[in-house]
Amino acid sequence: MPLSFPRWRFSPRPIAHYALVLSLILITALAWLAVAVLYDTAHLKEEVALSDEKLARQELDEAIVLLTEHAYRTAQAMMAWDEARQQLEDPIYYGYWRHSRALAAGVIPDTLAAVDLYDLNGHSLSTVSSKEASMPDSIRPQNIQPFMKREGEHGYVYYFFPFYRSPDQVHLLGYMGFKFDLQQELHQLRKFRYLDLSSVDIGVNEDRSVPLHELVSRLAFQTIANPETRALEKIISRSFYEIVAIIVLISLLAYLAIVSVITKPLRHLSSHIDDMRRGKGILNRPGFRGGHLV
Amino acid sequence: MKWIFRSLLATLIGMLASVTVSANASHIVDAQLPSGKVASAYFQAGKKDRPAVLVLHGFLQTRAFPTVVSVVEAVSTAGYTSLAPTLSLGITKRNKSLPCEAVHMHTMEEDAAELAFWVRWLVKKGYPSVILVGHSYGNLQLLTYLGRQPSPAVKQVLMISLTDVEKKQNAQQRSALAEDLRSRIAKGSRALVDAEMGHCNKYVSPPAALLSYVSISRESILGALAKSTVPTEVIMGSKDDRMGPDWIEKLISRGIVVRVIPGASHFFDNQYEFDLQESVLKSLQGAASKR
Repeated sequence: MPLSFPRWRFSPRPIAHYALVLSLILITALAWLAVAVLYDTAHLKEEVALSDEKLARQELDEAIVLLTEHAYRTAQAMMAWDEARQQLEDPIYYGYWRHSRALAAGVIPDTLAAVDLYDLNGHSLSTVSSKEASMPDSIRPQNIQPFMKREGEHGYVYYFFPFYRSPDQVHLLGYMGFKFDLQQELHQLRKFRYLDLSSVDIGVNEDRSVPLHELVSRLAFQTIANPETRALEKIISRSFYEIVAIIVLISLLAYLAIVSVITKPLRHLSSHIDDMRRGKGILNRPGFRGGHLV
Repeated sequence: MKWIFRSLLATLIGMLASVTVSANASHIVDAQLPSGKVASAYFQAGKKDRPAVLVLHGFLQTRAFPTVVSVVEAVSTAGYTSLAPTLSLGITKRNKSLPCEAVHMHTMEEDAAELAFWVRWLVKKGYPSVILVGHSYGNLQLLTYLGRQPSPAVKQVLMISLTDVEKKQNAQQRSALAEDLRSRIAKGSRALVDAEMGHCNKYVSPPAALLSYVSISRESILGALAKSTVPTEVIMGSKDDRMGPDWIEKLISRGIVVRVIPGASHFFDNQYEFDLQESVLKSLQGAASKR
């Protein structure tokens, strides 16, 4: 028994409909292409943002390394300073030295927020604790790792180093501590290409300290908009809108062309054939006197 | 061929030996003072038949002060053993000049005791004759030492740019300051005093320590010089602006031998460095011929 397939019979449609369908297919294809371009652009943008964030974090890491080197150099300068050594040997006038000499003598950077000296047991040489430059009253000599602490709106990084009598590091005299204003030091230590320094949020509760090696992962920040990427994004968006406008224009022109060049003459021809069927004179219609149909 | 090789080898060994000798001959000496502090000095051995020369720097300076370095170079080159200590001023291994605004807990007596320590060090090292050379305020420390039973090994004193303590503050002002300090000490005050002293506009020190320097006057210097049992000679620059106009005359009037180098400043810088070196060596040779 032979297979029989149903035969779909479409009633003939006006040619304008076919032209319209064709145009719609074309527009849909082009729209799909535009969406794909838009998607790729957004993906690229996301990737660039991720890369910028990674680079900004890298910058921050490098800045912390620079800060540590800076603190180490300050410690070396401090150890070579006769007056600091004098205080550890005889701290009777330590208060005067700390307030009038420590940061004003030009030996260690005056950008330091505070400095303090500690005896061999880790107790500050200050007999009275000072509120204005709050350094810890005591430290644990066996654990003098640097840390960051939030105080008000500022983050402060504390470094502690052993203080030796001479560079051979044989005779330990005590310890020294430095307090750096994190934002201020970052601003001075290097220029940032990706990190927006003003957006750095300490992200730590007041008076809680964070070990320095965990600091970068705790900081929240924004990246600086990359001008080249921004320019590229602008070009892609503009091109996209221009392409859409061109598609719309081309579709409109195609539609008008189909209507005026194909549909109208065919409609005339169809009317003429209908007239002939009805037995009317073939040459009565003015459009055919010249003999041109299309 | 063998002969050439041997001579080359001998020359090489000789060169190495000379480097070792010179490295041993001059070096920095660290020594623990009776106070427990560690002080250091530059030492260069010279000829054994010549006296050792101890060169002392000026107020709050170190042995690296240019005038001191110049004198040490001259005496060392001339074959004298030289020792240039840096006074600790109460600070272990002090190696830089101390600013006026630093805390000055040292006293004149401690400075003199440190000087005595270095003289003893030289004697122990086998130098029976020692010549003391001071620059500027260092001369006052020499004088203080001479006033406290100096070692018999000290044969001569040479004072370069002997300080006139009343150049910036006159006798009355110094006397008033000394009186104020005595009154503070009597009250048991140990609070830091900030006063004009020497070349410092702001010298920070506890009252007792400051008094030990302030109590020195022109008269006390001239008196100490006159009393000194050790032959003393003074070398001054005619353009020294750290002395009063009559200072040289005052010294001469007390029978002190004064050599004046025309045109030289307090520091004998520029071309006067060589005039100073020549003058120092002349004085040392003069002393040797007298002995």
